[in-house]
Amino acid sequence: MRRDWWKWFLGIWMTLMILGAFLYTPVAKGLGETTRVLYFHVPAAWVATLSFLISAVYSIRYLQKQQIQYDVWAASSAQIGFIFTILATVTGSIWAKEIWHSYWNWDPRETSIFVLLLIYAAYFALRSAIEDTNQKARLAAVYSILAFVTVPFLVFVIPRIYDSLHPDPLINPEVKIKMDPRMLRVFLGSLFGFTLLFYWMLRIKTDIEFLKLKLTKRM
Amino acid sequence: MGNSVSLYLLSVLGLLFQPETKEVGQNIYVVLAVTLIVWLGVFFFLLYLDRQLKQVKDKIDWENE
Repeated sequence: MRRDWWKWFLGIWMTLMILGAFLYTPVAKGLGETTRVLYFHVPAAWVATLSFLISAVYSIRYLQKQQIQYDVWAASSAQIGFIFTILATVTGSIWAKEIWHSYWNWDPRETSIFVLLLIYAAYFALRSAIEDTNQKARLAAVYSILAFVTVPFLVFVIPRIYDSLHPDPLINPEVKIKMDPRMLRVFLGSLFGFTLLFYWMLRIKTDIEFLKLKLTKRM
Repeated sequence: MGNSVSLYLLSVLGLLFQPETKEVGQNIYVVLAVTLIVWLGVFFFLLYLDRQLKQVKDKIDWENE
């Protein structure tokens, strides 16, 4: 129980953020009640980027040390990142239907996240195509690093080069945060909560993979 | 994990496809309740998974000793 305190803290924290998103924050002009998707859509996209970064970092560690646990961390992180990318895409698409009256517009931001999904889908295809554990880990590590190189371009650069329907991101060209202070509090709190949730999910996923490895060695 | 994703998507769908009536102020409480139920479902599911995993780990460690 004492070691699990942060999990209970996350439970209470996210509950407060949900209450804050609905009862405390004002709605943005022109977006109405759909503004509240912001507190779930952007953190999902943030966690996706973070998890791909962590996957790339563990891939580099694997190539340096050749220890299988780094490959497990890299693959698990990429899997959770992929789930959060799908969540960000679907929530964004549903939001677009309400605001732009179409689920999909091939807007630069929509196109870039779609390309990102394809790139990481190929990562899992590569992993499932190789049986030898060490070869799989080595090739996947190289691919993961190359895949992450595209992330800053797809997430941060391309949507800023082309005209987009997407609202100004939080870190805009003027480097100013244009948000009501109450919205900002809940938004940052939600980012923190999602990050902690990602850490917990990653711990569970890697524990399962390590158990699988242990059991395979015993058989 | 699949359950968590479905629940999460349901909450967002609930948020966006609320009927456009004069009672938007009332509907927002319904959406809030659904979102909270979904989050608590995800939270307790992860907690349960975590506990089960710990038990399996302890059992394997005990068998190895």
